[in-house]
This record gives sequence, C-alpha cells and structure tokens, in this order.
Amino acid sequence: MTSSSSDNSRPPLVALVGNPNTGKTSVFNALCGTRQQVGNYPGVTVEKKTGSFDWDGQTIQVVDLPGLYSLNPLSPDEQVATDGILAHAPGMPTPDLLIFVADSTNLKRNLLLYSQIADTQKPVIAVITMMDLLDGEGVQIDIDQLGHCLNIPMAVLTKGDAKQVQQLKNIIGDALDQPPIPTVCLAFEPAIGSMLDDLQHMFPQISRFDARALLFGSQNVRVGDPMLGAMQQKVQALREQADSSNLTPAALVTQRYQWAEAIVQRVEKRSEKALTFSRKLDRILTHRFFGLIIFAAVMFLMFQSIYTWAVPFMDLIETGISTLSDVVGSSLAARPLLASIMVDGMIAGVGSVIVFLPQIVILFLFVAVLEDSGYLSRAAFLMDKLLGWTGLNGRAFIPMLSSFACAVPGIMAARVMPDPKARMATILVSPLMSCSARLPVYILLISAFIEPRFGASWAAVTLFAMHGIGLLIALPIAWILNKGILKTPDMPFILELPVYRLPNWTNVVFRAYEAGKKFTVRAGTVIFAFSIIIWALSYFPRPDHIADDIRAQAQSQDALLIDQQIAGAYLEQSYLGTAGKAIQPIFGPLGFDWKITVGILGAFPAREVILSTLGIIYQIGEADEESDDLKQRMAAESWPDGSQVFTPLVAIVLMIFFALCSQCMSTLITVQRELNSWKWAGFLFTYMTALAYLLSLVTYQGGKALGLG
Amino acid sequence: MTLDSLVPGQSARITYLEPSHPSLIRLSEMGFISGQHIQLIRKAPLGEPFKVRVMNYELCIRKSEAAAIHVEPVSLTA
Ligand SMILES: Nc1nc2c(ncn2[C@@H]2O[C@H](COP(=O)(O)OP(=O)(O)O)[C@@H](O)[C@H]2O)c(=O)[nH]1
Repeated sequence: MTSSSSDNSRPPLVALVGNPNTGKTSVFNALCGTRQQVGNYPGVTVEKKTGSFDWDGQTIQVVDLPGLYSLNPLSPDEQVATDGILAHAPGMPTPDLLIFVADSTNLKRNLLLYSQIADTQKPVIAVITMMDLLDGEGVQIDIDQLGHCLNIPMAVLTKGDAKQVQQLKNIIGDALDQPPIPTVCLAFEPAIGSMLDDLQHMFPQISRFDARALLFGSQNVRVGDPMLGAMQQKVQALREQADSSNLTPAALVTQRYQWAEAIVQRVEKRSEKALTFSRKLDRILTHRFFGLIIFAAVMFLMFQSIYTWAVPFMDLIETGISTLSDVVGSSLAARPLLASIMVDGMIAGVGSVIVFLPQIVILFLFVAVLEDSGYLSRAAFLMDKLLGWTGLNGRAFIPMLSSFACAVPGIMAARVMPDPKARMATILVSPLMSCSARLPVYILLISAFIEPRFGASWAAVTLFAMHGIGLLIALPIAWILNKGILKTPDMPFILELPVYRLPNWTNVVFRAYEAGKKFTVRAGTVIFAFSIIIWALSYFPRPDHIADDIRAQAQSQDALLIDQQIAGAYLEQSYLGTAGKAIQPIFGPLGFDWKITVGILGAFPAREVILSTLGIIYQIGEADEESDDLKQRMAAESWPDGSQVFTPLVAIVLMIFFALCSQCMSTLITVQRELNSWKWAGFLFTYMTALAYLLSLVTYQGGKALGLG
Repeated sequence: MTLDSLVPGQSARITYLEPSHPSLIRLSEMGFISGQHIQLIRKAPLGEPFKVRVMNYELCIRKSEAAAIHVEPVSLTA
C-alpha cells in the first residue's frame, strides 16, 4: 500500500471526496458492497474506509476520504482528506482518480470545494447524489448542463439503483484509462492569474495549487525543499501586491462563489416551496421548550437502553463465564495453581470486561442512528451553551452522558468530536460520570449503613448525590484541562445542520459491529495480560503451612467454612494483602482499615471486584451487593479499640472515593487505545485517584470535626 | 447591524464580514459572503448558538461568529 501511482503492479486507486453528509459512504457501499475494511490513518483516530470492486476484469481500489468543506482544513478529518487529495497522506498511495461526490440539493456550497479541487489539477469525475430529494425542496437541476459546465464525466446515484451503480463503475473504469483533468473554468480575476503565472514562471517546480497556497495563505504549502530565499522574497512581494489590490484569501472565496453562482444559475431552477418536512420537524426538535423535552426523552431512552436492554445479554455472558469457570475449575481440580490462574485470573479478568460488550454495541447502534439521521448535530446545538464555557462544545454531550452507563463506550463515542484536544478533554473527564459498575458498591453501602439508620428517602438522596458528584466535578476539570493543560484552541463552532434522513441501516449495523470487534480484541489482549498480573499478586506467595495450620486448628467440621478461612488467610498474606496492610496508613486518614485498603487495591481491574474481595477477606465466600452476610460482617467490623469501622460517615467517604477514583482497567486501556498514549492513561488514573483521595479526606475529616461518624 | 441582533425568523442580506475575525475564511467558505441572503431561524434555549439559513442550507454558529457578520435586514416576516 505504499507504492506510488506510477507503480503498475498495484491496482488503481480511486478516492471519494466531498462535503460531509453528501452520501459519500452510500456511494462507497454501492461500489464495494461487503468488500470493505475499516482501519485508522497512522497517528490519528480518523477512520479509514477502504474497499474494492471489479470492473472489466480488473480490481479497482476505493478509499472513502473523510468529509471536508475546504482544502484549508480545520479538523483532523479535514486534514486527512486534504492530505489524501493532495497526495501527502501517510500510508496511502496517490489516488489515480478523485470521485467528487456532490449533494444536488446544496450545489453551490459543494461547488466551492470542487473549485479548490479543480485547482489541484488532479483527474476527477463527479457523482451527484440526493436527486430524489430535489422535488421536495422545489429544485430542478439540469445534470447534462452541469457536466457541460464542469467539463468532466458525471454520474448520478440515488440510493439502491443498480443500473446507476453499473454506470458509475463504467465511468470510473473509463476515466482511469483516460484521466479527465478538470479544465480550470474559474474565471478568476486576471490579476490573480498573472500573479500565479509570475511566480510559476520564476519557479517552474511549483504547481498551480501550491503557488496559490503560497500567495493566498493556505496552511497546505508543501513545496518539497525548504523555501529558497529568492522564492521567499518573491512571495512576499507578490503578497503585498495582492493585499494592495484587495485580493485577500476571503476575497478569493468570494470569487469562487461567484463562479459557483454563475454555474448554479445556468443549471438550477429553485421555486420557493412551503417548508419541507425536515424543516418542519426541526422546528419542533430545536424548539426551546419541546426541543429540550424531546432531547431529554431521547437521552433517557438511550441511557435506559444501555442500562436495561443490555441486562439480559450481560446476564447471558455472565452465566456463560461462570459455567466456563465451573467446567474449567472442576476439570483442573487436581492442579489448583493452573485452575486458579485460569479461573480467577484469565476467565474472571477477561470476563469482567467482555460483559460490557452488549452495552457498547447498543450505545453504538444509538449513536450511529442519531448521527446518520442528523439528530446528533441538533443535540449539539441544544447543549452547546451548557458546555461551551469549559472549552468543550455541544458534541461532548453524548460521550459524557453515555459514560453514566459505562465509560468505555462513552470514551469511544468521543470520536464524534472533531477537534483532537477537545476530544481528549472529553475523554479525560468522561470516566468521572458515575457508571453502572459503581452502582453495586453504592447499593451495598447504602443498604447496609444509610437506609437502616436514615430511611429510604435519604438512601435515594445519597444515590442521586453519588451520580451528581461526578458531573459537577467534570465540568470544572474540563475547564482546567482545556484552558490550562491542553491549551485547547478556541475553535469556532460552525456546525452544519443536515436535512433529517432515514439512517442507512447498513452503516448503522456496520459501525456497531466495528466498535464491538475492536473492544473484544482489546479484551483478549492487554486486559488478558493485566488480569494475570493482578491475579498473581493476590495468589502468591502461598506457603502450604497456612492452610495446614487452619485445618489443624479448625474447630468446626464445616468444610466450606474452613475453605473460606483458608482463602481469607491466603489473601491476607498475598503480595496484594501485604501491600494493603503496608499502605493502610495512607488510607487511615480517610477512615479505612487494612481490609478496605486491600479491597481498594484489588478493585483496580474493576470497581465491583471490591465486593468479592471483601467477601474473601470477611470469609463469607461468594458475595454481591445483596448478600446479607456481607452486610452483617461489615457492620460488625471494629477497630482494635472496639469502635465500629463502618460508620455512616465511612460508608459515605468510601462511596465518594469510588465515585471519583479510576478503578477500571477497561477504561484505562480504552483511553490508552483511543489517545494512543500510556501517558494520558496514567494521567487519568493519577488525577482521578488524587481527586478521590482528597475529596474523601476532606469529607472524612470535615465530618469528624462536625461530630459525625 | 450584525447577525446576532436580528430577531429570530428575520431575514437579511450580508453586507460584509469583520475582516479581522479568526474564522473569517471558514465562515466565507461556509457561504457567509457579502450579498448573500441569510435568515436567523432561532436561538438555542440558552440564547446561544444560533441556527442560521444561508445558501439554502442550515447551520449553527455561536454568538462570537454571528457578531462578525454585518447585515442589512430585508424583511420582518418570520
Ligand atoms: N434521500 C437520499 N438519501 C441519501 C442518498 N445518499 C445518501 N443518503 C442518506 O444521507 C445520509 C448521509 O449519507 P452518508 O453516505 O453517510 O454520507 P457521508 O457523510 O457523505 O458519508 C444517510 O442517512 C444516507 O442514508 C440519496 O441519494 N438520497
């Protein structure tokens, strides 16, 4: 894939280019069908869609470049697309042909980009989409006339028309044999032309496009060798000349639009129609009252579905995992070490992560539908002001809200944010939202220590507060990250509100599938490795005499009880247990004893693990948030001086700690993958742990000073 | 006057863009160029951003961008 276009051994490559939402992906799907893959461009998280089709006995490769509005890129998406067009894209050969995809309902703005592409003098053909929507908009377009004006081969493609697809393939095949170089029919002021001529005359190695970029300030000048002194001088002189004749970059855009306007006047008839269905719908969906209500309802539905629809599938996975554990455990009963490494290490570790798969798939189905239908940009419109002051924008809302169900899909959903720094800030605050894995911890502590003393209402208030605290803290943290650490540039929030459309179901399913696949692969690799490490720390060393001593001293004949005591004793003297005891003084000021400390350490892979760890330490076997045994044992725990360990204050402090800390291996690894950096994953862990510690400390010490606890 | 001072529903014609605005080029590329017909459709619930119609499509921009777009109103009908 790194050969150049002159290399005859590689199949020809065509690239789809165009404004966002023009139907590029639909054209791509029509051409390639299932012969497609999704990858990433090296170094950025921009999706790279490639595929191929056969024409006349040869294979033609297709790449679907991200949508862009102009060759002066503002986002990583646009940068990749621009680089792809100008043939600077890393890991991608120069396309042999560009396929310009234009939305017929929005011709004028589409032609602006076309005029910039034509300036590059690369071979290009055009595909006109959305022809079926023209009637509704009251527009007529003369396609032949348009082809005539642009003087390049042109195809139309309306969804699902097989004949049109074949025609398009023919046009592509023919164009590859005879590259149609767009004649620059832009009637720019002769002044610009002569300045470009002037520069190109002195430096013939510069292309027309680069000459224009040099003089009119595009960010995409890559002339090859560093600018020669003489060239620099000449460019400077010509720029001054341009400025004095009022030929600024903005004036150039105006000229391009004048060219587009002239074409539109010749090919398009527009009658003022009554409001289209889409615009009527939008009146309601962006209404300052009903819009918000509907938005809340949509978000509630999404949240609810991640929470509840996923449950049967998650139960199924959990049942599968525990069956697998049982089978493996009993068939390896003769080899306890191997059984433990498989069951408590690998299966439990990967299982605790894989159970999130249904949530991820459901969330991505939702996000894909919201995005494809055009609603996502309305949601961003409604929410922008709320998030704007933090340096984020309305688009951050979806990842943050999703994180209330689970941070892993939430972090992945941050891909909807085009600006890399704002996206990074969103990723770094999303795990503060109270995810569903914190719920078992809250429920155990609330039902054991809050509800019995203060009643059901206070229990509900506590639960609500635990969900609010993350959000309340996330916004100022986002502000600090954006303004202080990442120095996120103040990006303009210029967002197209595309016409509402029925989503493309192939796209929707494909995206959910891709998200699920990526996640599963991750669970099978890095998370697998981490699980074994944590398991080893809680298993070794394992001197035989401990079990022997307990058996020898055992008063009861209850084998189960003895096994529980042995498990507890082994955990206590394991590396993890020793570490817990050693660092307990750090957690002492928060009111935590060494058992809670071990619980916190053991919960590094996943928060809810604290329940089973406490279960082992308190020697009650299998524990979950419903176990009355565990609650009683916890309530009975006392310090050496006889005072209770779990006062309501300590319960609250522990909940605050879990609300804010970053006890989730899946989250950290997802962050590492999405940002391609262990450093930021480490930063996330550090800042969240520090925050959790500080707030817990303040709460505990404050509470004690007020005489609570 | 500038775009942000229009009443929701009001139409106008763009006279010029603030030449020093950092997003000048992108705004022009998105269709905000002098002479174009423009309509402020509505403001978001918290007063910002604005939903605007230009060149027969709709987009949203913040107040800081809208304030850089100078307009002359053409009608008061919604
Ligand atoms: N009515 C209509 N809708 C289309 C057509 N082509 C694509 N769409 C829809 O337009 C939306 C955006 O299309 P997509 O291919 O994702 O555009 P991209 O963002 O340019 O890749 C999707 O909801 C498509 O289903 C078309 O020819 N007619």
